[in-house]
Formats: sequence, structure tokens, C-alpha cells
Amino acid sequence: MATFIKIASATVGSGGGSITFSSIPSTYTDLCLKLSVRSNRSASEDGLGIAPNSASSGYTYRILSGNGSNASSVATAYEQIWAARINGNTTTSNTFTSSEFYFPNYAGSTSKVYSGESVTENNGTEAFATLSAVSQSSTSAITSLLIQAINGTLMQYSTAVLYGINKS
Amino acid sequence: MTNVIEVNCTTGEVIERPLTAEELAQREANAAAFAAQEAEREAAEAAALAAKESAQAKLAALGLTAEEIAALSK
Repeated sequence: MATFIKIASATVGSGGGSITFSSIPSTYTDLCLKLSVRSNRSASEDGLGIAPNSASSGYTYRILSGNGSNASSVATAYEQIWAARINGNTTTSNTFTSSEFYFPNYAGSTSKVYSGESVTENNGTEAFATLSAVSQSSTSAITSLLIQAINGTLMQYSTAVLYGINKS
Repeated sequence: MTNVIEVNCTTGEVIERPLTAEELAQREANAAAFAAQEAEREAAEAAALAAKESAQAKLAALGLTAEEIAALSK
């Protein structure tokens, strides 16, 4: 039976910004990150970036997404930290993307992987659902997670909650 | 100026600070990569749609009905 233990949470203030969880204890089996986020990018969507240990390279990813009319599959072609599609600021006001990411064996000595699912919210014809699988080649334990909008900034009230998972 | 909310998961301390120069540079690189990859994806999707429409027009010119053309892709 897995037990979720809340490690920390953060909510973006009026100025917008990014979120970093630092000094993550290595005492759990896995990590789970739950997000409610929106970017100020003037578009229907933005990319969400998640960088374990703020790593800028070594990523391999596959992003599957659908927006109500088209489906797409994007694989690694550029060095970047893309993890999901999230609400941009032309979507319905005060709507946010719900996301969950899971980091198994985050404190181990093998490459770090995570998977996730995200759904944007919009009172319109276009909304995105995303499935993500990401690998980052570092063998160091994950001690920090950087969460950011790739083209804009996370808007006020965007929230991140980090859980540690104990399997016993 | 973009800020970062940094939560220390061990001490519980929360600080809000500006991005460092390195973080700003990385952010710009990520944005450029994202834009390039999305542009490639959109171009590929547009090309695929154009090819599909072209094929459908050619089939229609051969005398197939819209229902018959649709049946081919099921």
C-alpha cells in the first residue's frame, strides 16, 4: 500500500513566476507532483517545463496530445524541458490546467524518468490533453524540481504540491 | 522580471527571488526550442492535411462519392 506524504506546496503570487522545490529529502521511494497551473502566454496553450535538479540537458521525451480536433506525437528533437501542454492566457479566464507527474526511484543512481498527464480547461472548442514520458540522463538523486511555463510565466494562483511516496 | 518561488523542502523556508542570469539564458533557450519544435509539428500536420485533401479531390474526380471516400479511411 503506497502512502502519499505531502512534502511541500507553493502558490504563485500576483507577479507570476516559476516554482522550485529544493532540498527534497531522499527518504521516500517515489515523488508525485500535482499541479494547477496557467501561463500568461497570449495563446491557447503554453509548454510546461519540469527540470529535475534544474538540468538543462540530457532530456529524452515523448509527448502525446490531443486538442479536440487533432492528435499529435512529439519526440525528442531539441534540448529542452518540455513536459506538458498547459492553459495559455487566451483560454477562459480563471481556468487552470490540472496535471500530475510521477517520479519513480527519484533518489536512485540510474537515469531519472517521469511520466505525467495533463488536461487544460477551456470553455471553447479547443482544450488539450497530454500524456508525457520523460527521461533525464543524470544519475544523481533528484534534490530539486524546477517548474515553469516555457514561453510565459505561471500566473497568480498557479499551485504545485509535492508528495513523497512510501511503499511498505 | 520573472521571479522564482523557491520552497526548501527540508526547512520549509520559502523565498521569492529573481531568475539568475543562467536561469534566464536557459529559459530563453527552452522557449526557442519549443517554438522550433512546434513550428515543425504544425508544418508536418499542414502538409499531411494538404495531402489528404488532394487525395480526396482526386478520388472525387474519379467518381467516388463522399461516403465512399470516407469509407476508405475507416
